[in-house]
Amino acid sequence: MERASLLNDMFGTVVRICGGECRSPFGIMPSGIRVLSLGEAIRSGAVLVEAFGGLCADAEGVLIDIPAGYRAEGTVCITVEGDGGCDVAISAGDGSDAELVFLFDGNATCGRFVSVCHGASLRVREVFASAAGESVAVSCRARIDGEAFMDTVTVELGDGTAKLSYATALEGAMSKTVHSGLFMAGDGERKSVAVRVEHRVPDCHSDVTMKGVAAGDGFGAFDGMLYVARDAQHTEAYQQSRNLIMGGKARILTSPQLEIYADDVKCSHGATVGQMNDDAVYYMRQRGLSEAEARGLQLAGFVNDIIMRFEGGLAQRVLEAAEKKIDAMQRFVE
Amino acid sequence: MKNILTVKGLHASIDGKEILRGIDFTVNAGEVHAIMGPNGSGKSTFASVIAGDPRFEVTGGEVTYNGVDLLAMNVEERARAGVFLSFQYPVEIPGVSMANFMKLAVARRREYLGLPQLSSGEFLKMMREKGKVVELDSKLTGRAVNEGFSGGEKKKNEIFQMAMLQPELSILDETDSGLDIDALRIVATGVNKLRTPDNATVVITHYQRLLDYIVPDFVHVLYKGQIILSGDKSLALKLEKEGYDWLINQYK
Ligand SMILES: Nc1ncnc2c1ncn2[C@@H]1O[C@H](COP(=O)(O)OP(=O)(O)OP(=O)(O)O)[C@@H](O)[C@H]1O
Ligand SMILES: [Mg+2]
Repeated sequence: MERASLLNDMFGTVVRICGGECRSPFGIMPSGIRVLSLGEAIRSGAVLVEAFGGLCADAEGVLIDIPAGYRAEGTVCITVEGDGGCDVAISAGDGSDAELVFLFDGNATCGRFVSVCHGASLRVREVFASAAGESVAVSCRARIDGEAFMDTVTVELGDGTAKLSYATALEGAMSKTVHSGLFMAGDGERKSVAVRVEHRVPDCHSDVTMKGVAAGDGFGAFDGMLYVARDAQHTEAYQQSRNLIMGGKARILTSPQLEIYADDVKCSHGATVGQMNDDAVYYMRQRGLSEAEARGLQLAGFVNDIIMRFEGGLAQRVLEAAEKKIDAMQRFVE
Repeated sequence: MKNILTVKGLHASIDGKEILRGIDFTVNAGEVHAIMGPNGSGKSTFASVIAGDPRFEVTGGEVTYNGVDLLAMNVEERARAGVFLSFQYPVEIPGVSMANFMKLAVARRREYLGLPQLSSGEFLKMMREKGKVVELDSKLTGRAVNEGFSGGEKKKNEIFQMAMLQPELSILDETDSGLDIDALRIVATGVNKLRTPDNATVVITHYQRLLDYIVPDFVHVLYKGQIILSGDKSLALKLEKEGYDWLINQYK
């Protein structure tokens, strides 16, 4: 996996975290976003740990502070590489609008704590690209204030192990979260994704779509939990797990769950686990495509709507990385 | 006259059940053959075996295509060499765009023919031009393969693909079924436009109405996996009027 090339020389603002430590200078970026030492920010009182659910008082890492009213100027990229753990706290100030792109690889372990303040809009795009034998573990917690919006796109296409968990709490009325994701478990790989969304107040909206692919003896797991508190009337919440199994030894376990205590809600959830369509492969071969091309197109067709949610130049790079992964996976059908 | 396809004593089965029981069939360049026959007689099976559907097992006989052993080639090799099957039931392939699918298909066919590859612009132009052959709405070619297409649109899409690939041997399996009167005329006219002295067409159909447009040189009746009668276009008219009973009774 040529992961470094995914983000290289593309973006003005890059925060590089390697071996658990931030290697980029702290300070105010030209874009106006502040990148600070999380430990120092907590000790100086500049940051209240309570503002981020689950953040420990002795956390070390990086604080990314998006000022109130900020308007996106390009993208901020955060690369988390090498071995070792680190926390990243993100504060999206009132009414701000920003996009963050994360690239994880190596044996990174990371806790991400996000606070999306009133009326803010935060787009998170993340790519997981660990090499074979490596293991990445990321745990993300987010809280979203009234009328705020967080839109997350997760693409996991590494050749190693990935363990990703997300817990998002909708804490202010009219807040919204959308999370689209994809994990690909090739031969010998294990991928697990857990997504929990809590509707704590009325009139919020959530939409989770997670797609999984497994080939060879790859193993994938999706755990979904949609929780709607008693008071959270007029909740609109959707959760979908769609999976594609290639070959007899590949496995994906999916467990989408609902816990709903309010009575006036619109919720749905569902899970599918399907196989490659052999009739479609035959149809495409009858038009001259090789079996590999036919499988590749079908697999690409399954994952592309997620990958297409990356914008700009990054979309092309992620697509190319995904194509390589797809190519490797469709060889492991039997 | 150049021979395109010669089938001798073809036997084929699926899951151990014999469906084709000794078929002899010859197609020369420029010809149109119609294959008729009651439901379940093996027409689609014959088309599938010629196309190389791996689900069927050939248990006897020979097939030569342009002088080479067709049975030794896999599905895509046959397709690239110019064997085209318009499916009785075209498959929906969600997420796979018509353009991406056809781009690969055309590239493989051109590779085989030793033609230079098309630029994106040339390819798109070709998509537009060939879409006109069957009046296929350009919106449809922008969608996923057959996804959400109506029955008639799927059949038009088959002939659109035929126009894109310019095959030498086209087998159209009930391409007329599901078409309204206007669409039938459009599709049949489209097929006729694609005819050249160097290619050949085999139409599988139940109805004379298609053969009013695509006039066959030969009509064959398939029954229980064998061709029990061949004739000229008047045979189709007779079958339309009288059905198959007289023929089947004679066969018994
Ligand atoms: N996968 C299969 N398994 C078992 N039998 C099959 C299979 N496919 C086809 N057959 C049988 O083979 C016979 C011929 O089928 P085929 O589809 O070739 O008929 P057809 O002449 O095209 O009929 P129609 O006019 O209805 O399209 C039928 O009896 C059918 O049930
Ligand atoms: Mg049939």
